[in-house]
Amino acid sequence: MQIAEVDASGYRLICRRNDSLSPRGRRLFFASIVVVSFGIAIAWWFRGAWVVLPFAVIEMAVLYIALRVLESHAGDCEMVSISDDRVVVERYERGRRSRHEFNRYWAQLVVRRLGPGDRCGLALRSHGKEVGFGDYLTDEQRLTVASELRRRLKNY
Amino acid sequence: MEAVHGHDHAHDHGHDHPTGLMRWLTTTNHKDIGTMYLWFSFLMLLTGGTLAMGIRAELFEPGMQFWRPEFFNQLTTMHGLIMVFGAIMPAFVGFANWQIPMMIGASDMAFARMNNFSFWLLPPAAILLVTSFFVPGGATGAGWTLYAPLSVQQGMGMDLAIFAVHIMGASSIMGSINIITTILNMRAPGMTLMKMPMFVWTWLITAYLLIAVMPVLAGAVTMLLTDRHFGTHFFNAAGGGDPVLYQHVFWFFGHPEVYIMILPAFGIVSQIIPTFARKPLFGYTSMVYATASIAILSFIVWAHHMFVVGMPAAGQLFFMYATMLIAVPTGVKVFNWVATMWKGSMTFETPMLFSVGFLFVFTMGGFTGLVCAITPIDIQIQDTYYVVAHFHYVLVAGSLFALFAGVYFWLPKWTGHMYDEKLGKLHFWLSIIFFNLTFFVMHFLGLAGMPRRIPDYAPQFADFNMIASLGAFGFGLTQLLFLYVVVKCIRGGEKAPAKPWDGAEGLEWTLPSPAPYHSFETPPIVK
Repeated sequence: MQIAEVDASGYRLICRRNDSLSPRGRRLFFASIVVVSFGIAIAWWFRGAWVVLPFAVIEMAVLYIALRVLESHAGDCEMVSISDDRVVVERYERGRRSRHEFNRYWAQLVVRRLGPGDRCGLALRSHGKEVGFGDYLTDEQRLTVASELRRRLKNY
Repeated sequence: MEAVHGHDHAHDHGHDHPTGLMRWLTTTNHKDIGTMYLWFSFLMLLTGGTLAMGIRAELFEPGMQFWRPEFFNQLTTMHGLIMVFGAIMPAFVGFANWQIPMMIGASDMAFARMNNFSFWLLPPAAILLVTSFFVPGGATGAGWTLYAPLSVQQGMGMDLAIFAVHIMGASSIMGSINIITTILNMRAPGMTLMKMPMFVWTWLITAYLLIAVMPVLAGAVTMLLTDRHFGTHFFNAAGGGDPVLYQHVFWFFGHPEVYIMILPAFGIVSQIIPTFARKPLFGYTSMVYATASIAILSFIVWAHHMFVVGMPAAGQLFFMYATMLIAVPTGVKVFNWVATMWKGSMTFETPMLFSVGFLFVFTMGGFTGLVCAITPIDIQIQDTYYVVAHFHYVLVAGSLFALFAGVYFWLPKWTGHMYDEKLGKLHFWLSIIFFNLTFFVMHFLGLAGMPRRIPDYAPQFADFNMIASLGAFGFGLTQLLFLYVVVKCIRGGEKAPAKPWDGAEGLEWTLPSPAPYHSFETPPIVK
């Protein structure tokens, strides 16, 4: 997903990870499976087959961990902002933030062809440092962003 | 130069394409893992099939020919266990691995390392099952249902079977969690739930079913284990336990398991029929609801497997009517498939032949299921060859034929080559003829009273048994032809275009053939 904002102060591109399951959807799904699984296990407990319950607990714990891992990535995003003489690339991954700053005059946009068709990767380069970005964009979106960024860097 | 790359694939070694043995051992790629699942399940199909040949050889004529009765019981038991847990279930997981990410526009499964682990649990489980023939006392002969009290009394082979079932169950749970999270969280932008391909829908519901019932199976076999070795008496009447409890617990897992083995087959057929009828699937929404209805109903019909345990008439009536109710959503599906073909511009390439074959024979299996659902009739035919005929019509002609259809349908996408159409059609015709030769006559045997799981029988059953055995040998050999067609296709053949079937719809057909090692690294946008 891509959100580009252009205002008086400059240009800002926000790319988010594609998560088709909303936090609410995640909670609803987990609640529904817990109710079904524990409902079955508790019913068997009362019929004497109590051994089903520990397995249901283990299984739900694994599912919970899996959903938590997904959730921890839900906020992952990349931001590229251009203001005055600065170009900043920021990444948020599992709550960790990394920030790379470039001088707008020296920053170069690199578009790497990665395969047949439009497959490409984006990076910003300056003074021996290169930072890749655009992981959450489609190839088509990368090319659009590339031409926009190139124009803004060139016109400085 | 200092390089700080997010996920620049040109430089990211985690995305390198490994080669050799390590590629297969350590791979986290959904296509590689799907391929391993499919080969594993085919190997298990051949193993279980070999045991079936052993069964049919013994039953070729009355009298004891080859095996001791105990070994015959081991053959039937292991045939069932291997086919259910080793062949059919992993085959569908293989399809899920290959197809779901490509169909929803995802780069891979949600938990790629767990995916690798869930596959590699299967070979040790298979080794446990197969080597149990060679331990003192041989493999378990308690039937694939492992009914107590017989299973409590058996030798070491039973313990190996219990461990194998546990391991395969763990693999299934991890596989299901992976599939469900992939489908829910990794769909391409724009692909709402009601825009998902039917194959994805059926797997979403199947994965939910698996997560719901696998602890029940694990509990059942653990109680068997503790009864055998740790002095508990869950199923031992002498110690205050109840052997019938095992049947209830097992079938509470076992009946949803039947749908776990057939719902993805419905999904495959729902992809293929519209393609070769060149029409959209008739009643997509009703197909989704019918699939969900079948899954929900599967939780309330388990005791139709045990009408003769002595349950009250009210219980018999409830389970009879609940079972018959399943015919409604199943009928909706059959109607929709037929309506999709109605006035379609149909062609009959091998995937379509297998799908239409599925439609005929699975519907017959459904009807015989209705017969079995009627309590007074079931009391007459339970534990006879009629039941054997019924579930083979559902599981061989249903699940296996759909799997064959799916392999032929997606083989060009997987390998980049077209398969040999003539040989594919030959495979279909031989399969459907030999299948019916084998199992149709079993209806007559069952109605005439021939019990299942016996190595010898009265002479009046001889002719039909001979026909069934000849059919079984033919059916078994025919599957070697399938192996030949697949290997030939992998090794070469006419180059397959991105969309080899002109009526095909879906994201997987937007990728080149063979599908690249990494597909949809960024999700496409679904309009």
